[in-house]
Amino acid sequence: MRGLVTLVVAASVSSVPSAAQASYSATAAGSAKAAAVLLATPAGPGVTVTGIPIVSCSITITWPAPPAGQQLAIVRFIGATPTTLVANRTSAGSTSETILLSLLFGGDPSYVIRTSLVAASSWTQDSPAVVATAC
Amino acid sequence: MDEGMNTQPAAPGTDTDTDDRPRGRKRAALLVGGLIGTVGLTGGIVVALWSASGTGSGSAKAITAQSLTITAAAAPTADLYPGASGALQFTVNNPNPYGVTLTSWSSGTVTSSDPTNCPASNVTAGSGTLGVPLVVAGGATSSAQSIAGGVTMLVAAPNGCQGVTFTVALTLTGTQS
Repeated sequence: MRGLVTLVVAASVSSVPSAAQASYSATAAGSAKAAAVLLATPAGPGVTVTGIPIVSCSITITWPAPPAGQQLAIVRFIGATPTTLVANRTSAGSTSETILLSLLFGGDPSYVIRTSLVAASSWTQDSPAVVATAC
Repeated sequence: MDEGMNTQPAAPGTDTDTDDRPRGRKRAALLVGGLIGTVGLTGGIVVALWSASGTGSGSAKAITAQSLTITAAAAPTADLYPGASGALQFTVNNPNPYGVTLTSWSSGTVTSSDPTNCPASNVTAGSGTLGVPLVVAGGATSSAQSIAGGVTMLVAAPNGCQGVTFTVALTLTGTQS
C-alpha cells in the first residue's frame, strides 16, 4: 500500500445533555417587628441656692454629660411656665441665674434636664424636677 | 493427467499473476485482507447485545410544598426615631424536606403597640429584594434575621412613639435551593 489512509471520525458530543430540573417556588408568610427608640429618663440636675434671698435668689444648676447621641437642655419651671436656660449641650456643665423674688409668687423654681436625640430633637425625655426650696 | 496441460499459455483476460499459490488460497487471503482493511479504516467494532425488556407499572408522587412561617422577633432592637429607617426583625421556619432560598420581600398591614399615642400611620414599610438571599435548610428555623431599612418613621412622629413596637405583615418569596 503506497499511502497511509487515516480516517478520522469526529465524535460530536459537544456537551453533556442537561438533566431536566424542576424546583418548587417558596413563600414565607407571617410578621416581623420593628421598634422605636426609647430615651432613658435622666437623673435630675444639681441645684444650689448661692445668693441670699432678700430681693433675689441666685441659683447654680449643674448637669452631667448626656449619653452618646443625645443632647440636653436645662428647663426651669415657675409654676407651669417653662423657660429654657441652656440647650443642645452634649457635655457636662453648669449655669447660674438670679431670679427676682417678685417672680417667685408663682412658687419655688424647679429645674429639669430634658434630653433628646441629636438626630431627632423633637423627641424628649424629662428628668424628675429638682426644686430650689431655699428661695 | 498430461503434465503439458499445466504449461499452456494463459488465455486473454485470465490471471497473469506470477504467484504460484493455488488460486483458491489466494482468493481467501484477499477476502481476509479486505475485511481487516475495512475494519481498520472504519474503526468500528461489532458488538452484539441481548436486549431485555420488562413491562409493568410503578408509581411516584410529588410532595406538596408547604408554606414557610415567619415569626416576629420577640424583642426587636429599637432603631426607629423620627425620619429614620429601622430593621424588620424575624425568623423563618421551613417545614419542607428541602432547603429554600428566599430573595424578595413585601410588607402588608402595620400595627402599633400603642395606637393611641402612636398610630401605625407614623411608619411606612416597603418591599424589595433581600440584600443577601436568605437560605433556610429543610425542616429548620433560621437564625434571627432582619431587613435593614425595611420600615421608616415619619419625621413628624410624635413623642408618644418612643418605645413603641410595630408589627408588620411580611411575605418572603424564593425557590427551592
